[in-house]
Amino acid sequence: MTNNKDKGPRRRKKILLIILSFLIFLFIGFYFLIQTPAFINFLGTTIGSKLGYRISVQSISFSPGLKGEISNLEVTRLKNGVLSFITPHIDFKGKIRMPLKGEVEKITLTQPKLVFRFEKKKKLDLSFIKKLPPVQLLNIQKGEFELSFASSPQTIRITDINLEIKEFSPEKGGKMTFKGLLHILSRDGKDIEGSGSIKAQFNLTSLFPRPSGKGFFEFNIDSGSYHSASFKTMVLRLPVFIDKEKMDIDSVSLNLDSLTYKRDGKDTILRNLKFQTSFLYDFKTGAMNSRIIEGKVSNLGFLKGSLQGTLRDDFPWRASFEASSINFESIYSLFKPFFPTDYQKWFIKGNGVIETHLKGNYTEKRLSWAGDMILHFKQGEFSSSDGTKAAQGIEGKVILKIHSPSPGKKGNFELSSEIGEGELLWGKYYNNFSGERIKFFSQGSFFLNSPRSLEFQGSLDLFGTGEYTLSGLIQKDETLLSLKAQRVSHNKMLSIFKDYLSQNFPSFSNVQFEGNSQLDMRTIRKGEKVFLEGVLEMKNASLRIPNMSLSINQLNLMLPFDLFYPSSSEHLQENGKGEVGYLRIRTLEKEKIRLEGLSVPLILSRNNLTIPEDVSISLFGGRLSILNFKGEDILSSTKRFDFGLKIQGMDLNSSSQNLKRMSLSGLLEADFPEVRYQEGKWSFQGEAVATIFGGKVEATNLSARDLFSRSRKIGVDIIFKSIDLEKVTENIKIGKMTGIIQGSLKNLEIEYGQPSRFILDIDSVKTSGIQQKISVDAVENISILGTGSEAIGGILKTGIRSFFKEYPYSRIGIRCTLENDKFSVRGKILSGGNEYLVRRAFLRGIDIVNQNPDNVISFKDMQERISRILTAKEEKRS
Amino acid sequence: MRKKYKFLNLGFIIFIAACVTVNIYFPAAAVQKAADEIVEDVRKIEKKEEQKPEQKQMNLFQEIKRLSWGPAEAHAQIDINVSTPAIRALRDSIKERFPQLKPFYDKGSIGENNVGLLETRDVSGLNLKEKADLNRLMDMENKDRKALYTEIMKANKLGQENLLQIQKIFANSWREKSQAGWWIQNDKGEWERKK
Repeated sequence: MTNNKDKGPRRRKKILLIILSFLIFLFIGFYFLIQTPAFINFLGTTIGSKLGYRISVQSISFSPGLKGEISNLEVTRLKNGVLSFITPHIDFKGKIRMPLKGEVEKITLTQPKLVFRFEKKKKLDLSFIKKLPPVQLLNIQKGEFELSFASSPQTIRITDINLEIKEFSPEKGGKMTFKGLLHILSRDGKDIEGSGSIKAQFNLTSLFPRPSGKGFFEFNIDSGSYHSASFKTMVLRLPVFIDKEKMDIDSVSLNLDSLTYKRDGKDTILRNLKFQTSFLYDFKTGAMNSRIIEGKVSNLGFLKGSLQGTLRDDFPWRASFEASSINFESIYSLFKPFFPTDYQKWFIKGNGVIETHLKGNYTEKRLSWAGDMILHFKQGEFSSSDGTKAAQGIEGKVILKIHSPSPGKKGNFELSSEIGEGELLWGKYYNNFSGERIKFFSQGSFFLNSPRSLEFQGSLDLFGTGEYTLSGLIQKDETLLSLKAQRVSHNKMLSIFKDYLSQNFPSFSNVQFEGNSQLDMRTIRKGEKVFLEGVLEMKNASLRIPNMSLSINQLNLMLPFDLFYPSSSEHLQENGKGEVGYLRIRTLEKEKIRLEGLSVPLILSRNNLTIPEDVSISLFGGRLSILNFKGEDILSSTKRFDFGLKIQGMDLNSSSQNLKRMSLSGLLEADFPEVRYQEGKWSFQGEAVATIFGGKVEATNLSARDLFSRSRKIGVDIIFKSIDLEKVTENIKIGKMTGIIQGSLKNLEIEYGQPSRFILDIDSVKTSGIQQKISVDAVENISILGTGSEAIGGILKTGIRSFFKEYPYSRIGIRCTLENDKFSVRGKILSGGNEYLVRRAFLRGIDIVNQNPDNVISFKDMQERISRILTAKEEKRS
Repeated sequence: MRKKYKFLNLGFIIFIAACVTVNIYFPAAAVQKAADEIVEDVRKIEKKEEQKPEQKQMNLFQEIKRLSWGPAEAHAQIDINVSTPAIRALRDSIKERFPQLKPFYDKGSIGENNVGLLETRDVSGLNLKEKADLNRLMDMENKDRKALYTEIMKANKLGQENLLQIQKIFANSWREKSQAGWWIQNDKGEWERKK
């Protein structure tokens, strides 16, 4: 009986031992099995397929003290491969109680690599974190993180990651410190690139459903680029506080050493950029608000702004900023590399304030926006490199309202500007516009897609001179502009140019121009060619130029025109519109000239000016006719004017009343079938004939240069025939002479109002019935002319000779020449080795002999001698 | 035989004496003198009486030539006359303008370049009105100067190729007669203040 009782407990012990041995064996077996990669991989595959991941490992080992190692662990999301995790080595360590809680004391990942690919329209799935066990200390050494984008060539890579998370759990988060090197790469090398480092510290209080906690992120980017822009040394610091409801980024700061923009081989640099602001994002509403954004750019000044938006739906946003101390000199320095070379050496200065308000949204994958910008500026100043174009003290404002275009549609804008005060210098033109303003308003639309275009219409107030409206269409290859100017006040317009005219054209210093004009003009630019057409009108204008004794009343002009620039022969030959306009003047007075009822038809077409009818005016009792007037290519430097000129029956007495010491009575006839002006020179083919002093004076080879300037030069050849000396000396008081003379005045040139050269030949012509006598006065004056001395007069007026007032002569032969300021008088009568100017009559008379044939005097001396002759006669008469 | 030699000798002498070399020369000295005179007149500078030697020292060859045998040199007779209505008018115009230009010379705003024209130097101290006046005066002055040089060239029947030389001769005068402190450009193109 006792043996049966002993066998029971022994059997139970045996069974227990067997079970224990089996368990130990199982455990040991499992212990070794679990360290086999095949088993782990099998386990990983099984578990992974349930979780949606593929897990593989090279080896796993456990050591006493609940320590273990895993080598070459690879975890990849099965579905789309967007997530993969690779680590060459994991150390983990635990305590006895931790596995029971499901915790790990320490996990160290060495050189892990986590790769994400961000798919379009898909959220970043971090739900795998939930499956991680809590870890007292998670340590990542030299890890790598890579984030790529399916819809973008960019890749963000963070290397050399050193991450430490203390007390990590999926529910609570943990205390994280992080460091790594950041690389932003672009597959095509064109878009966004950058490199630098990141560091962060964050106390996460929870991870799901949304991370919350407090900490900061700091990005230090050594260099980066975005399309044509690049920057150096950017530091972005983001202190962040996130809770269930909001994310508060307080005092985010962004510092950039330099920001460079490059285009077409040129670049511009902004330096020392600093920005600071705070953001608040509401998770519930999606609303984002920034507190004051403050910024400073060393070469631009201070900026202030704000930004609000909602980061959901169509992302409506609003932004405003203000720059209160813009320095135009700095802005010009920024942009001048992109200006044409000539303008890069200009000088621009001034201060301003700019305010901008923008709003917009993001719909249909496009950012649309609208806003306004107001620029106030003062003390504006500019100067060209040579100082010939400049302005100072300009102030004004510019307001621009703009609406961005929708896809395939046009954007709209409204631009208004008011500029005034200041002084302007443009070459020789200077004016002080104190109290004057220019106002401009325009609205229009623009199209940014090809072909780009800008269309506008607007109005201009140019110092109150008139009403101007403009409209236009600007495209790359063609520009259309239309200008209407109405009620343009001549008086007001003249006041702008008054100083300029008086300084540069003294004759116009007191000009008065009343009335107003209208202009309706269209301009077309095609490539380098410009076409202009329109109508210029002037009604009941009056013009007075006191310094020129010119007065024009009731001036009416209606001039249609079509012109082009630059000039080209092909366009000159084309048929233009050829509309006929007119110039009508009720009265024109210039000194003694008075014209009334002048009416001239005009055609200005294809750069040619034509008077289609002959113009005939009454002048000094005769008629002056202009025939077949045509001006060719009048906008070019080689412009040419051709016309015919006829003068019939003009009274010389009336027309010569300005001539001092002389009155001419006779008639003038002229027939110049071809008068031409080209390159500053006038030439007259034909002749003018004056019937005067009983004979004829013919003028041929008439030419002129710079006719309307101080340096005018006139050339002519004159032949005179059958001139009655008695009549001549009645008018020109040089002493009475009788007889008939003929001769010539060849190569006569008058420059600057004085004769510069001539050859004068005078010969007497014996005519029956006409006595040939010369008075003592005349002899005296010829002597003064030849010798400068009045001594001969003294001799003739003394003694027995005083009884003779005149002497007969048989012949007169005189040649006077003037060339280069050298005047000489020669006798043409050679006899007995002597040179005679006047040869006496048969029995009685006087010989005037030139004893110094080679004597030459200066023109100045000649003027003095002639002046003496004429002045003495006037004194005698008075 | 003797007769033969006589004729030969006579023929030789005639041949030598009949050889005439005609030299045409650019009348640089005369033009320089004329330029000095014009500039002195424009700037109202008193002429200095210069004691010039009556004759230049002649070398042996020239002494022999003076004996009037052997090859003769003849100089084309160029009569330098720088007085025509155009030249007179231009001189008067330049002269009248000088008092208006003088303040700009004194301020260093303009200077005499090495081709006889005015150039701007430093206009930074001028206000816009003064700059406009300066632009106008300089434009008119340079136009008158260019016209003057052209008229002198024409009056002396010199060719267009001589115009630059006339300008340089006048440049010498303008620079020479400039006051101390005025800007002048030397022949190397460098600008300096007249000492």
